[in-house]
Amino acid sequence: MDNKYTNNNIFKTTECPSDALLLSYVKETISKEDKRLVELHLIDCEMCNDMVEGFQAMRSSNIDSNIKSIEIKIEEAVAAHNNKKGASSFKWYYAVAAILIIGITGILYNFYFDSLDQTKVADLPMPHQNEISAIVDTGGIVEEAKPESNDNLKNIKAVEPLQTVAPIQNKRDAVQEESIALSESSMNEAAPAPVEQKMEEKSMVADDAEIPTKSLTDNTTFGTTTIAQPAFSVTPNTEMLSNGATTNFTSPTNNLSTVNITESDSKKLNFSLKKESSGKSKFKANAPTAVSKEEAKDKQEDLAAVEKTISDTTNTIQKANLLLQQKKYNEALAKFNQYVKTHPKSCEAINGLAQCYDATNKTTEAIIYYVKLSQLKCGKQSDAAYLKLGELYSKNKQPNEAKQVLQKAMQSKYLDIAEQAKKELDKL
Amino acid sequence: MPLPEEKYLHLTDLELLQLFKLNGDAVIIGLLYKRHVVMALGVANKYLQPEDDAKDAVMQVFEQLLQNINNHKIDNFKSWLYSVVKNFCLMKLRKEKNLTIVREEEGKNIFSVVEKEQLLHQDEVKLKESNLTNLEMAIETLNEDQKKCIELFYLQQKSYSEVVEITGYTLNNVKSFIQNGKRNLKLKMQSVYG
Repeated sequence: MDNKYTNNNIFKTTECPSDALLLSYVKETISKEDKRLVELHLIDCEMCNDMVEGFQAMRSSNIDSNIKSIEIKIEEAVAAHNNKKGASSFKWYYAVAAILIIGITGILYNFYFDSLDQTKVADLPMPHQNEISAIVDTGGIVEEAKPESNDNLKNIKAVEPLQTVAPIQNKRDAVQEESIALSESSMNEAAPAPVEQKMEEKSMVADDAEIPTKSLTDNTTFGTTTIAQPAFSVTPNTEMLSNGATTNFTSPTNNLSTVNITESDSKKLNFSLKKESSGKSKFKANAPTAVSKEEAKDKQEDLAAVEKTISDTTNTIQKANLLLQQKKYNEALAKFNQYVKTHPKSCEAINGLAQCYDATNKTTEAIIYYVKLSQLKCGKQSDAAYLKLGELYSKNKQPNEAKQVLQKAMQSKYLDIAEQAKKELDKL
Repeated sequence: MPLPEEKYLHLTDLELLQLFKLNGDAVIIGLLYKRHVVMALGVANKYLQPEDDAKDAVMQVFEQLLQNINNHKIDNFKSWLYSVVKNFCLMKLRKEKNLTIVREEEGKNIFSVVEKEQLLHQDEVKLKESNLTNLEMAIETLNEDQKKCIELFYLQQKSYSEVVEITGYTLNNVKSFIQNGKRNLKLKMQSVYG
């Protein structure tokens, strides 16, 4: 006996159709084939059957507006819930913020005064004897250096006379040559002989020296270089430096801060001494601008990776558009969805999704994406989305919604869209 | 103005649930609920009338969801939500009708749902193709109404409305005859033909 039921799959169950398809079934805007599939499914699926019967009990014209109003209420409920949650955690938020601010302030405060403590007077290289003499002799005013051949050091100016010169002078006998040595080899003939001056730590911290540490540090500012010593005052005899002399700065307390600075180094480090409006000299050493080969290689690799990512994503959207043109909507949907994951606000992708859904008669989904497109700032595409929404709402027998969006489309600055919208409105 | 939920659009229902458990962002549950709100509204409207009552029920379920969803292990959100909405509506109907006897397992908590996807498709029977040859014989054992509707719907591939026209039964009767007839067929096939 032939089994005439075999092909009818009487016991075969199917997956739930999309909401849009079920709604189309309810509204009787569904094709005959789809209707058959839906009805076969409804026999077996209590959930879909309940849903369909529920909507069949609703006035067809109210279905979309009811769904829309529920969606709006959900958004309002979400906002209210988040606000409530935010309000309840308000005090905790500020309490935590206050504790953090107090903590950070405390740490910075300690750090600042610790650094001041560490900036002992002994750590501060002093003007060597000759310079001190010069300062004293000129009543505290040192003439600006006028180097002849070294442009980089042309602007170096002597440290402004400090009020503490006199005490220093009193103690200068106790100072030993130690920290500053100028290399003879690189000295111009005209330059004075290298001067080595060692300053003994003890003598620098002597009570009666009374060197106001703050005064010195205020006058001298440092950038971030390998010169790690915090208060590293450089007051070489500028005439000595003027011809590309190599200066060996040595901090008495920290060997790390020993730096040989040559003319080329000074270019690398972008040394400069700037005179502030107050007339005080300010020493700045910026980070070296030269990049090592390894760093350059790393940067190139990073750049290549970024370019590859851009290329991949560009390919995705291009392929998606191509598939859309070829009317391969499902594949195009997959590509657009893939692209939207990384570019959720992409006008092109949202528009593509809307077109795919529209072309496959998934009107509800198409409307959702056209609404999104209209909300994004996509220029003409957003205005065109209103126009398209007008068509879809009309198709869906929702004249009021259609009118609303078409009126928006009429306000478009693009004349073709505005005119088209007017025509559509007239039809309605 | 882009929607705040856009960043979650690409996630599946279960991924959204996991994310909500991590960050508690109500936007996520909003998005998840909106995905299935059509089903929820349809089901609610089947049991509660007028439409406004159905809409209120959908929103009340959502409010409860926001509060309680983390307490439940959910493997299939849509099926679970269907059970929750249906239970909620039935409870409301019972209250309105002042029915005092409410079965405990249904009455105390609308979330007390044994979530099994197979509940929705529990009638599914895995029949071997060879058994289908016995189907016609089994159909003969059905009562006249069921037999007529089954033959029209499955054999002649008529739609519900066409079956209604041909038989003169109401739509609900037609559905009922088809569903019951199919169930009886399965039972018959299982018991007699193994």
